[in-house]
Amino acid sequence: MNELLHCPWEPASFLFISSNVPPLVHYSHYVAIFAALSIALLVFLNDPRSHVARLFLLFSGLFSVWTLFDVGLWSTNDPAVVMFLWSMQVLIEPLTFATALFLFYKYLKKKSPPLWSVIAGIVLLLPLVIFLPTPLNLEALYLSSCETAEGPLAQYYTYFVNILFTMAIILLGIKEIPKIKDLQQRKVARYFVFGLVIFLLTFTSGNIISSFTDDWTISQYGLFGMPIFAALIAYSIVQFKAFKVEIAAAQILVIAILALISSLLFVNDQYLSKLVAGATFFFALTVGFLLIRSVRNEFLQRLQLEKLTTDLEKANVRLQTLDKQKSEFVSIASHQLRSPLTSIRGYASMLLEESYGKIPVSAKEPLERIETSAKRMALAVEDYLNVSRIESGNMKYELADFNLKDEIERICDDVRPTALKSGLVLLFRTNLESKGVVHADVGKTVQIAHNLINNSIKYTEKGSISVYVRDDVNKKYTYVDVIDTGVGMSQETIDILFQKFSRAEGANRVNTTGTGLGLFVAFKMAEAMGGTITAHSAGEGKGSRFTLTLPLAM
Amino acid sequence: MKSSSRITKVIIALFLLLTAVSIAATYYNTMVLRDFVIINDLEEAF
Repeated sequence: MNELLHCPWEPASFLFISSNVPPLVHYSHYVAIFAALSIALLVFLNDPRSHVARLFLLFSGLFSVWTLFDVGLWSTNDPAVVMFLWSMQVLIEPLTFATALFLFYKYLKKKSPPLWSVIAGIVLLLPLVIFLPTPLNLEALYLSSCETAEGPLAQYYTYFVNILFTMAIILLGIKEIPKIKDLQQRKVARYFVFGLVIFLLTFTSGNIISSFTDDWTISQYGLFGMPIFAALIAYSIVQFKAFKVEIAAAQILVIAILALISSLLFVNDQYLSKLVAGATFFFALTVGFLLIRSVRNEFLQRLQLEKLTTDLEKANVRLQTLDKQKSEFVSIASHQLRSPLTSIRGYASMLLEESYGKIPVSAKEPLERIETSAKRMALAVEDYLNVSRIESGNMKYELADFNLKDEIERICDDVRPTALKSGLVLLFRTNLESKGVVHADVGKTVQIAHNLINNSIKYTEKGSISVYVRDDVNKKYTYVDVIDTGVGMSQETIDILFQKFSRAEGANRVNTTGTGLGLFVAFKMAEAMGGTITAHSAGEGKGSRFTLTLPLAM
Repeated sequence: MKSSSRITKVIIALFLLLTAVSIAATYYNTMVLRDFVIINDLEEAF
């Protein structure tokens, strides 16, 4: 009897094609299936060994089968097919929810759920499985609409189970997400639970409403939102990074093109067309292979670059910390050295002046050496301290207007005897349009000028040193040139001259006492006062010119 | 592998087996035996 009865519309061809299916069903169902499956497949291809990716694929697969069966239910007019597909839907729906809970647990805790919860889940699902073939599930079928009269299992129990699983997901999220320490991870986990819960609620709410109102068009609308929520879940699983989306997309594109071309091989009978299609297939295969390989290589290079950048950032932070610690150490050590040095210098000087009585002639030279060495050491300690102050930003500058020409002239007068002792002529000249008043720290300026002139004396064996003060009122700068006929420098030396601890090649031959800090300190001081220092030389053995630039007083 | 993890897998496998049996029974009932009630409401509907 049952074999003869059919619902009053034409039979479906290929199970899913029928005039009874409203166009809305096609749009909602196939788009949802395509989106859920392709997104899950992309995530899976990204990392096929990941349990979360596998579970997401299973979840999307179950959802897709449910949706496909739904199209079958709309199409067929065979009551037997309706009863079977409807029963399958009643089973698949809670299974999808159970998989969702499993997936979420695995995602959050990175391990399988405890045994008791698995047993509890299965106990919940057991009545559905056991009574699926009985009238407790589906009681009967209405022939006019091919819809079923749902039994208590399909109408109440399945939704009860769905809601329980959804509640479990929400509670798990509330309990576990705040425990995540990393802010970014916590945000991503929120996206995940949001996407999953909305997906499930949209999925079940339409069915619940339809189940009670017998209007099954309502349940179609929920499916439209599925791609968005599926994408949100996928986004959370891959967590922004390391998602080889380019590779997966290239693979899918190549496979789709190959499938399209290979289909031409079967639909066309003409030999020539088959030949062309075959050649095109091999061409596409080769190009596709090259495309995937190039995309893959680019992706791997980018990953490597990102890793290197992160490593560099970490190394940079560590270096900065170490540099700061070093400056602090130098500062403390230098302060500790300075006090005893002052005593050594002071007492050596007093001994030489015979403040403690007459000293033997033979002790005079050693005492002079003690005083000179202590003086040299004090200068070195002062350099270290200055570097430490500059780097920690503790160097104080008292900017004021003063006459640079007068100060430089005084320095020249002071150091001329030293120059003469070395057989050098020290000349002082000016070419000023203004009065030569600059706005700077007078003490620091004197220190810089001393440093530059003394350097010239040290590195000049014969000839002269010319100190030249000039200005440019248009540019509002005053310049102090220190020009010598000394050892000169190569361009390579000039390039590193103002760096810390850098000394000119062969500098030790001429001057053994330099720390390599004097020019660094002078340069930093000039910069801090709004000026600069530059160096020029025609080459080794051809003399040098150092120029101190300072802003004119306004 | 921990024993609880093995037990979990066995339980899930048993459940899936039972599900497969249930699906087969449903298929046999509906598609082969066609053993279900049909309410012929065609006359009421039209």
